[in-house]
Amino acid sequence: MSVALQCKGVSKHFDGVKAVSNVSFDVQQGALHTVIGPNGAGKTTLFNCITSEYAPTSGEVLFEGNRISGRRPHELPGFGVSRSFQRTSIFANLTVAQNVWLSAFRQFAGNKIEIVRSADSHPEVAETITRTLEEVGLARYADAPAIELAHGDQRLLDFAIALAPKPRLLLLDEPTAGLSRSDTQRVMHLIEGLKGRYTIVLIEHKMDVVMRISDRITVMYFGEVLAEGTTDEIRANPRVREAYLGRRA
Amino acid sequence: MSLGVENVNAYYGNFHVLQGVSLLVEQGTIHVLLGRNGAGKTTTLRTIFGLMDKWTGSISLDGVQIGGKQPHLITRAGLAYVPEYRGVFSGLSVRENLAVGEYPNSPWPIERVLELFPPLKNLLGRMGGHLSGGEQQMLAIGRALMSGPKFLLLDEPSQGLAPVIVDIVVDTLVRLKNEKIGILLVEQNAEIALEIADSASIIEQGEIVHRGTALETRNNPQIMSTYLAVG
Repeated sequence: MSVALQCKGVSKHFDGVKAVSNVSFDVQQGALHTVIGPNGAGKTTLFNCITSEYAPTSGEVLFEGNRISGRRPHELPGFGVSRSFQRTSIFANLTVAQNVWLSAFRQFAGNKIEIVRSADSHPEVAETITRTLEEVGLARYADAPAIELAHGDQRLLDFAIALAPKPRLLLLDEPTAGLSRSDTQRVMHLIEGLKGRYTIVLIEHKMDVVMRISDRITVMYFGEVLAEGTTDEIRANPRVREAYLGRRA
Repeated sequence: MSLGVENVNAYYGNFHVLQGVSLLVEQGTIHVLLGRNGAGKTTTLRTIFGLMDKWTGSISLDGVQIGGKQPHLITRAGLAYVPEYRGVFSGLSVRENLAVGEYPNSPWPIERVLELFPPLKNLLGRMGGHLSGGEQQMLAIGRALMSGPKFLLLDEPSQGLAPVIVDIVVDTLVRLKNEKIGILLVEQNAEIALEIADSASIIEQGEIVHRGTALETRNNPQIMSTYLAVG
């Protein structure tokens, strides 16, 4: 197995505040690597550096050998990178299929002339939409307005939007936040089904989810890496228990 | 003293969301309202706090009707609300956020709130939008306490928080209960909520389908698996 993603000494400072300091880790191709840490530890800032929402103050991020940090966010899908956000980010008044269309179209819009074609004249996009909605279990809602989906289904639509451009690296920021136990299990099963086919970096607070599906875990604390290891190593680490896992570990 | 909710119905347009919901929260106790996403938990809290336009039923605090009153009058009557996602004013400092919730002669002046949440002491000048999720949750609860409530409505206080911060929030709720504040808690994390609650209700598609003590709810595997997907 080869290294797919490399974070090399990534730092991000805001007006002297060191949100992320010298973070390094590798993610193997097809592995699921989870980043955990207390609120404010810098996890989402790190995600934003990986996806070029922020340019790192120093350090760099490589995916498949290409530097993906310090670019413009819309360039990332071209490198095979896709992400979901902490809060569900969908177009509520579009249909479920239209939400995915916007994302799926990206991979086929190779030149500007494509944009002036009718939305219906892209059979390859329609096929991608169908396949993606089937993957996340929303095919039967394709023509329903997204706003009518239940909360858990809206989160699955978020996944479909991230999957439609056929990424090779998937970054998931707290995908189960705000979900009930049953919806959390649906999302967890979906992620388990994606494992191996995608390289996945996950931020997640629900430890039952993290410990079940992660291959490796990086623990961040005050912007730095406190520990990295397998689930068993992290669970047994007394510094991690004190800083993050708390008394229920 | 108690917070009473009797036969409450609420509507979004023509959609009948709450269907005859009744709850009772005694002073100095925690009542947890559990249920799936979309079951009506947040709508119940919003209705109690005067944020729903279309509703029927009775909502009383210590026997006095508060249903239908505006939120600031409900707060003055002794009920405070900590919404999901906290509602912290991102462009105001921590001190200013706390001041927004302040009522004259409150038993919870800022000094006492800061004693409850020591991490906020060093953050008074920081903008609310620059706080971590855990700090925002402390601020949201602290701001609610500044009005000196007898009852608190709390919507998903553990959401998005690190386990170690959840421990702090849980300890805080137990302390507030011991301070004789009644708490109506909405929480996805059923195991943790039932550890600290005295009583529990489960809501399903807008109807209360179970009422009981927290202990008997936790010890009923059929209820835990059927409605809460636990076990």
